[in-house]
Amino acid sequence: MDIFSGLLQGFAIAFTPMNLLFAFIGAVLGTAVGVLPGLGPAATIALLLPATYSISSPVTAIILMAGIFYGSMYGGSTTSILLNLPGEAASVVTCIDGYKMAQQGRAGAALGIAAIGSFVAGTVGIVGMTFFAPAIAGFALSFGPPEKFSLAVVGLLLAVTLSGASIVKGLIMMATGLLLANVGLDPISGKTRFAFGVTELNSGFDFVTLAMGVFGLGEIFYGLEQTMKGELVTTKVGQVWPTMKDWVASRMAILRGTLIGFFIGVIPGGGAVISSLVSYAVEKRVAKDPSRFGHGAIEGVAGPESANNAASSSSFIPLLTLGIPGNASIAMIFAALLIKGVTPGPFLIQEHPEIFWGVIASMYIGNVMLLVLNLPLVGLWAQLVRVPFAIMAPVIILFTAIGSYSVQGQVFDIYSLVGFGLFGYALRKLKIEAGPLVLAFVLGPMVESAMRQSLLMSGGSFAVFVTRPISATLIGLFVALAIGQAGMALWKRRRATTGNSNRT
Amino acid sequence: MGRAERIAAAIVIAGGLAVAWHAYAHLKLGMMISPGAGFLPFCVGVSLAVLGAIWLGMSLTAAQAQAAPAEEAPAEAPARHPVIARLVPGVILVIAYGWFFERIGFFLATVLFMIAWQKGIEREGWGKTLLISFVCAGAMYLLFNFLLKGVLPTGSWFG
Repeated sequence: MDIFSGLLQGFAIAFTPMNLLFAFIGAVLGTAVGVLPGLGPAATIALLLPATYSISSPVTAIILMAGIFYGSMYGGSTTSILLNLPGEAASVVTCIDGYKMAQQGRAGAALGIAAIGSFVAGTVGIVGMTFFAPAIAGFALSFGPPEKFSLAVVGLLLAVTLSGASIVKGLIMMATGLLLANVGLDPISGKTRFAFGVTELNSGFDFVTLAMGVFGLGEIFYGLEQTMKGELVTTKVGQVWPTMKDWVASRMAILRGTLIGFFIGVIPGGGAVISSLVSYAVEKRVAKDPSRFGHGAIEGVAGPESANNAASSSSFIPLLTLGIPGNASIAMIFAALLIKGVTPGPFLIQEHPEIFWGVIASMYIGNVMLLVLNLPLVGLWAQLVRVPFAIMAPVIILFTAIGSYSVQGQVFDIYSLVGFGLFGYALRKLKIEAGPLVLAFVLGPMVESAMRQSLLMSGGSFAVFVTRPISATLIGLFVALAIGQAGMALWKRRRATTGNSNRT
Repeated sequence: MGRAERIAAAIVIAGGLAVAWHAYAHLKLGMMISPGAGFLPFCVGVSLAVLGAIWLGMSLTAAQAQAAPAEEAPAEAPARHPVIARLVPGVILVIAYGWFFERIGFFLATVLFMIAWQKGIEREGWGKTLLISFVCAGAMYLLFNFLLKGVLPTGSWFG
């Protein structure tokens, strides 16, 4: 099937009333989640994982979740601009100039350019995905167990090293995720691991419970500790269509942001947060007058908002073509596909073209829905932050508890949920990213089976991972990147030390 | 944060060693050509212990570097720490909710949980508490029972 007939088939699927409805629900929920501070897209998709059991079609389930993911990128800018309150991490950088613009009475222009930039970048990202994804999937068909192992491990390591957080803590999370994935029956020997006589653990920890606990309940437990109440500031939105001057100032920023976001989003661990930061740094560097940044420069809103949307679209590429989720939200979508009996990877496009093309087509439609939802209704979305935590917190707790119970019908999952919630709370307190944990948990079974198959193939030699060309290239690329990163860090440290000694 | 990090790092080291020992002693490591059920957990356990040691080392080095300024006492201690005032009761309430869930049934457990939350943690008035509790329990019932077609317990204590 060529790209255009695939896309046509995808639109035929995406335009069915049920899929349109779920794309709309996803876009609305995603925008709401983006607006509400504290509850990120990963947590919301985690909360909705139990619902995937009730949605009969896997395409519909993934359309819903994809809508939440890219919708949250749109919504995140609203509270960043109006209230200086980033709804999710990728919109933190938007606060810097967006809020300043709002204070100067230009909230409408900031919101308008954020929404339009998001739409352009999101659409370009999907177009890129439409053309690149089938080629990558075709290439990945030749992957054997050693390549799969190297790809999964390199993907995990990239997620750790590129996340911007502590590498040691990230590696600890990755190891913990692999360990948690080991709980239960060993698929090869049939031996029970780390169950310690608890029969409910024979089948291992449930991903839904783990994800809802670490992300959903962990966030709420952390929020319970914060006694301060957010100050609600109302800013007049005004005209949301940017002026010609704004357009001229932003058009290149949108283009650069789109390209940056697209390429960073493809790399596991890259994603929306890094791309928005990189885009802001690039805009500041290429600006004729960088001193405007931080004082209401429209490029400081247009670039990062375009970048995070392009990244959210392109981060579907490694999932749909290689079966490698690059960030926590995509890991949730990976899990949702597994729940529906679909294994994401190079065979997806051949075995389930309706999912592959249906999801891509729904993203085009979803982007248009988001533009329509966000531009005229922006004032309404800003009111969402008025929902008191006193109501939101227990409702989310109930949602996670009943959701985890409903998966297997056992109370044990509610207790596991509390355990994972406390674990998620501890991670927040220690400023540890939970992303690598979830990624490793999802990829754990594949990593282990690919490793064991590879060792069997090679007669017990680990050399198989560096003697096969694709596997060796993947490892080589990672090593080169790691050395490059270490070199950069050393160079920065040396420069800082030299600067300090020159001053003294 | 420094002390909490050191405790967490120590837990990671101890946990990693325990996992490695359990994998070695109780699960089979197997041979290189055919690794046993304990091979990957053993590798992960050892890695955790090593990473925990690095984290502990980094945390201790950072603590030494910051040791110079003496910690200032807070001007006014809060009346009740939020962890004790809100988090601990919150966690206990969720565990209690799990315990009662199958015994008294989904609906009653949900109403009682919401009442306890609104009165005990949020200190809301009775009118608002009852309104929020029943509306919320009803909405959850509609969502999980009708829309998501889940099977929710009606309560073993009531037959």
